[in-house]
Amino acid sequence: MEARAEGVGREGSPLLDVVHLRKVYGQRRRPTLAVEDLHFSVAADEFLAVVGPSGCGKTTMLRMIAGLLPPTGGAVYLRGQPVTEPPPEMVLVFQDYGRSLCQWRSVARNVHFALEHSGLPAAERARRVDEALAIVGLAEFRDHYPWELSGGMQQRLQIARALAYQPRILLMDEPFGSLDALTRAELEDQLLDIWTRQPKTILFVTHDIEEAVYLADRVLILSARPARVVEEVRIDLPRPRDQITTRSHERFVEYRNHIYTRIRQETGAVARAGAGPAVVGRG
Amino acid sequence: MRVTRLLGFVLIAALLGLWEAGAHAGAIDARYLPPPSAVAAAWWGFATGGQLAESLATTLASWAQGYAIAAVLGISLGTVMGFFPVVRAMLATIVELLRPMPSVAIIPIAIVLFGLGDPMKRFVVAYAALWPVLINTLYGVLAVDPLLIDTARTFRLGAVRSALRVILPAASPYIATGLRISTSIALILVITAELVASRSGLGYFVRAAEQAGRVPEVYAGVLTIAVVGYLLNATFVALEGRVLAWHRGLTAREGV
Amino acid sequence: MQRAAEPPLVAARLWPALDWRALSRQALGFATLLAVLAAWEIASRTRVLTPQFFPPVTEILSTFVALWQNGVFLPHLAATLWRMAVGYGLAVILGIGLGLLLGRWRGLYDLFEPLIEFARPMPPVALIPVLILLLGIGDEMKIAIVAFAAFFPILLNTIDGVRGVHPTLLDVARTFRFRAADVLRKVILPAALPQIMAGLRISLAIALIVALVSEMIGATQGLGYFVLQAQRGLRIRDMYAAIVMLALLGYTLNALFLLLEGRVLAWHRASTGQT
Repeated sequence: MEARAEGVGREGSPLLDVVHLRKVYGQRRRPTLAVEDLHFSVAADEFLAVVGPSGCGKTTMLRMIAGLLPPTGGAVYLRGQPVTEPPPEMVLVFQDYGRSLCQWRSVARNVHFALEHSGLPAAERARRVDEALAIVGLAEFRDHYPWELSGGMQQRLQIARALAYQPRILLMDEPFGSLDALTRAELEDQLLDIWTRQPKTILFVTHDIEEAVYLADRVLILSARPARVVEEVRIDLPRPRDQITTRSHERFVEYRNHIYTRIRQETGAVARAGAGPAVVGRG
Repeated sequence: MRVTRLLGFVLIAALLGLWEAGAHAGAIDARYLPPPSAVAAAWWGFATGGQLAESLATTLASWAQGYAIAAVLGISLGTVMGFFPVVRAMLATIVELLRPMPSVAIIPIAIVLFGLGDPMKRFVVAYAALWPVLINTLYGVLAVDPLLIDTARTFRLGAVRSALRVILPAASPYIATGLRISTSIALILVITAELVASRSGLGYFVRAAEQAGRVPEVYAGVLTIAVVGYLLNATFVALEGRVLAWHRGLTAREGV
Repeated sequence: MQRAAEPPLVAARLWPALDWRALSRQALGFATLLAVLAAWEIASRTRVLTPQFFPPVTEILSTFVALWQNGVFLPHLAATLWRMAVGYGLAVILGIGLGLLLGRWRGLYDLFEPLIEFARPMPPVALIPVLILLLGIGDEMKIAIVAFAAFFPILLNTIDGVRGVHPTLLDVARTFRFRAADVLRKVILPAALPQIMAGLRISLAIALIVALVSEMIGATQGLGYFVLQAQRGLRIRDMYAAIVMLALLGYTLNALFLLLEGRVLAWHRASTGQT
């Protein structure tokens, strides 16, 4: 396993290794290469953002890492163990919050959903639910139903559910993509706050470059479909981040421009090469 | 997936085989559950003896006539109720009270009024088949996008023209659903009427065979009815598919 | 889109809280009903309608009351309800149970599909003579036919409901380490419930119809038996009274079911805007 370099020298030894990950859909009829070769590592407690052009395979990648989709080639290693099914330390937060919440359960019960097979005693489960709701600021809505909440609140509910589970790794698939700009900014800060107070590894997929630079320690740039890691950018901006000062920082603008240019090159390259297989659906 | 569907047919064949073997081996009482071979023979006799054609014709005739009456009445009344809120309000209570009544309850009244012949059957079928068509047409008309109605107004189409050219086509998926449900309901009622109080038709044939102890004929008759039911439904779905092809593409399939 | 008549302004000003449009619509409906009944009454009494075929409404109603007071209706009603309940109960258990399995596992569904597609369009009443041969004319036959008839709408709607559960929700359950049985119980079943309830409602109506038919063909008790016997014995008022009873029964069952559905699916109603 040549990719598992020991002590890669970042915030600690890599927690998650994505080794030459590859995914081909529809092997029998017209095979579509969704993910060509993804190869990177994620350190413990790192905030890693992944950006790429629309349809490049970001969601496919996340689902493979989460153990929901078997890769066609390569593998994902968590602490050296291959991921073949959803590992207990990992949670995936989806973009489509409406479809991922239990509409028939109250807010509190939705959070509780995460803990129902954790083997924890009832008292501990209740405590975690209360804590998670408090962290995201939904405590007073605990008896409401998801459809009574706004989009932003529903997404916070999904995050609360993930937090209650206390995962070591949080995978997030464009979680703020369906929200308006103000709500997005609010949730970005809330996420950073949670991450600071309860350190965990976050793998954050987004199409919003500025969001990626704002939040992350490191940004991975993916190519157009089929996905490869094109470049890795270390984000050297002071923490705690702030919507106004950080975003007007000169390095912020540099990073942002660099990444944007890079992505444009990638999509341009595809266009010039005469577009490949029809870009279908996911991420 | 193709393989498992084939297996499904194999399953049916296997069940029939077991039935046949069981009857011959005496495990199944052939007096009440004759082997498929005996049923097939009885059916053949039924078919070649002319009774099949006769009974089938009678049943289908009553079915068709009642269905036609129900369709015309249901669509017209449903449209009128959909168009005119006053009419809808007037008939609302009566409809709400009659609608949940099991339609077979009308059979005794029909016998009193029409005796035991074909007119009775026609009436029963028409009454029962009316409701799904009426209700669905009404909902369909009510569900027509107001934008469409306003557009018709803009083009100064009169009421009748609007109805025919704009409203009904827009409501046609609902109307089609109502007509499809009524296809089966009409069949159920005609068979019921024949089972309960008639001297002709497939239902009567089956009942008479049962009472006379001609057991294989009972099964042959039931089989015929099943095939009729299947064909009527399949024909309707195929027609619906053709006529409503535009709708399928336009909206996602709503499981009805 | 409801272009209802404008409510009388005076009343609206006096009691603005009441929904005058809805009330006047209701009143109109009732008024029409009463008018029809009154017309029937008059026509019957003046012999415009043959009283032998169309007894006056008042006489029908008094017969109805008498049949109740004399305890005639009760055993028949009880018999019909019993057969319906047992048959329907069986259909619910088998229909939902099998529906969950077939909806979840496509392979299983494909296996049974030809069988289902053939059995489904058959008018269940046609099986009654067969069941009489096999089970006689007792309660078993009636329960069996009710169960058979009620089974299919429940099965098919359950399958559709299960298929309609969004894959994201299933992914979520996997992420939180739910086992297959738990996914079925805690995710699929609640998510599919609206569709399942639709099937249950359709089946309830079918169960009643089929129970009545089975009683008309071979029984010694039950409302179906009673109404047909009344017709054969030319006890026309009894016949009409029984029909009123059946209408009432159908209405009540439907209303109770809607009430139940309203409770169980309150979340669905509200989330989809009163579907």
